Amino acid sequence: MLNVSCTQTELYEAVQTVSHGVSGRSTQPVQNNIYLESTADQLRLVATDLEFISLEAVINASVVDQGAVTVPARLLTDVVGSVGASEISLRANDNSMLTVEAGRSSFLIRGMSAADFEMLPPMEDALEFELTQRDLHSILSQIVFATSRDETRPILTGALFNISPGGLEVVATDTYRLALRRMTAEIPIDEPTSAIISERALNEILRILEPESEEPVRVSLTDSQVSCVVGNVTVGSRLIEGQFPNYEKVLPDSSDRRVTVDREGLTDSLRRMLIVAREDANRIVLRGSDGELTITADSQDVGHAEEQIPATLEGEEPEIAFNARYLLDALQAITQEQVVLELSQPLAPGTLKPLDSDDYLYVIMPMQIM
Amino acid sequence: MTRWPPGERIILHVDFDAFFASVEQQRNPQLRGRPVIVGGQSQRGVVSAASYEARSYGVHSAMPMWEARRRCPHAAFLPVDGQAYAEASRRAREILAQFTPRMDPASIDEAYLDVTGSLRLFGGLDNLIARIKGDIRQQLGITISIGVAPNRLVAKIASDWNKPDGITIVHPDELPERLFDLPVDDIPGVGDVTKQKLARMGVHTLGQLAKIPKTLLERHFGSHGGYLWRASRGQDDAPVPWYDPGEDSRKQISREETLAEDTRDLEVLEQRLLALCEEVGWRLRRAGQRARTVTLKVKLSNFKLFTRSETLEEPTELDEVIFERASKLLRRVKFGAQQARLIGVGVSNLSDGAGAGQLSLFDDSRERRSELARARDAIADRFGKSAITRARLVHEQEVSDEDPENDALDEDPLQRL
Repeated sequence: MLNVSCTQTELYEAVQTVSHGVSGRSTQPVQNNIYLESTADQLRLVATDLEFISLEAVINASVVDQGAVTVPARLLTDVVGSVGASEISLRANDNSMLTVEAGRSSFLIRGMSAADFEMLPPMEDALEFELTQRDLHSILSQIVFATSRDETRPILTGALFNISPGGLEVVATDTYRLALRRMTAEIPIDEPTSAIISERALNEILRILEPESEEPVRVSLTDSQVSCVVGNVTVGSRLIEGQFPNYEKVLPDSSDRRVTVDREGLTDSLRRMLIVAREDANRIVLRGSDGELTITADSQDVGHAEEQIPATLEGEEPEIAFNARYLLDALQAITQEQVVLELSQPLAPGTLKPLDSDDYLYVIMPMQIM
Repeated sequence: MTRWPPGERIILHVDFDAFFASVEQQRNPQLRGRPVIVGGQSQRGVVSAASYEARSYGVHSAMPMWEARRRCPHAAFLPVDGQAYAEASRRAREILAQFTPRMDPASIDEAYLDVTGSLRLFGGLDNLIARIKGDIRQQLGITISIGVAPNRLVAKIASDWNKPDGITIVHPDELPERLFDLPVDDIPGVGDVTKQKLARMGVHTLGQLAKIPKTLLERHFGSHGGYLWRASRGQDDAPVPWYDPGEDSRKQISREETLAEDTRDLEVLEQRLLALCEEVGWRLRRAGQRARTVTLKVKLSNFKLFTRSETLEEPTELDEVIFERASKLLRRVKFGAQQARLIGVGVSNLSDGAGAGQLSLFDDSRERRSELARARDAIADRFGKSAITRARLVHEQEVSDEDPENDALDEDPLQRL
């Protein structure tokens, strides 16, 4: 039977982290629980909705006896959070009751048998590679927002990872805009492969990554599952099955007008234009001439907004309407100071990318100018 | 920090300082350090928020705008930008939720956090507060004032004592005495009426209130009396609930109308329903959103209310899809001997869709109907809503049925798609 003690701090952090994996809507009540298991010298915590997300944390513990039990996630979080002592002991009995003792407090929590708790199947013959936390954070933060929220098209609620020996290409689209990020990496495979990973799992990974950390993330991938190990936490997910739309055919192959602007300047300006634009589906119009980009927003209900920012224009003078929020999403994800908008016809897609870098592309479909 | 007695909760009330004005100052650097007054711009407008610079001129929220203009004519006067504040508030909630799962965004500019469990994780109360303030300042550029107490009530009162950018800690040992000098209307929920009633009993401060027997308060104020009694002692057991980030998707858009005369004629009802569905669809598309749940509401002559909801296979922003579902629900209403006096339709379970006129990168079967709806919106925007309508609604605009030119309109163009 499970019988361990550990520090309140580590346990609380672990419980908080994995409780995100509980869907709360599972038809099997046991899946709304956190699975606790004592191994030789550690305590392992798992929560999963069996579909998009499986979260596992391992913490140091002094183990008196090995065993496993499951208890309601929220109840455990509240109990562990409420106690004042720095050491906590957990002890399960044959009836899946968990005794939590800390200092002079003691709780007896009604749990459920660990035998009924389902987990994602173990991954066999997985492709494994490493990225730094910083690199993976950089990739995910530049594409996750472009995934679709439309659950009727499940494919688009995930991002496509194209993996080849030389590196990664990650693509997400909600059909109105498409974000693409490339990164070189050494990946031990001979043939390219691909996987579609759900936005839920990606956001969960993003949440635990340290943006500046050089520590490694271990990625494992099979035909049906992915997992990422970050420190003592493992995020797992089933892959989304199906055919990702042929995104390459919508990447614009030519542009006859280029606008180079200061990223922060454009960002600030778009935020101001949104005051008016948001009354009309966030539509803003960009017009370029004489070394300036003019941004306007019009709404029948509220009025008109207009602003000029300095720009380097090449080719024909552009005139095109976009959803300002879509532009802002990408501008906030880019770190370089200068960005380039490559445009062609008013109803053809435009491309936003950092100046002097081909690692990141953001293709955005215009709106009709009204 | 002195030790917190075990068993006492540690509740934070986080109050965003002059929130609307701070958001405006944050997004427009030129407003920083200057008096900013946000509020209704009409003749009868009132101040929604005043920056601290404006407050030093005696401007405060709920003051009539003309009065604010008189006191601080050189301030920047800005209209209320609800969406920007809601967005900033949402981002603040996300930050705060990282410190504890028990977080309650009580309104757009305040939140309660139960950090009893998180304290050790963040290295004690002082470090935790420093992190919260630092994260909010860095990521949103606004300051917050925090009240710390063993419960929500006292935390809320305390956050007001040291503003802006302040911290006030009320230790459990200081209760209830620390509250005794406060006027009774410092208790949330004590307004002018209660205040005056208490004044007639000779009660002006919480200390005086705490001396009144509970039974006497209950006799005068009913169940509110028990609350007053506990509040005067700084007692409050209300828990801070778990934060539910999905709350936003439970918003809804709805329209209803009271019929000119009661009726159970399905044709009349459907015609009104169609007009309401168009209005709702238009507002959905305007907001760039799609809805998955359609709700029909019918009030009968005897004021009995029928509401029925149904969830769609996929989210929609199209009038006809909303109408199709709502009219199906209408047929299920059991009128009995009654007639309908009010009919309404609502959509909820909202998700982001594309705005009107947004083109798609990929071919989309839905696209053509969406385009038609958007094209209609565009015409309505330009020429007014009466410029384009469905054949079924035409006779509302008093077009003669005999007019041969209207024959072409008899068929709903959407039916042909």
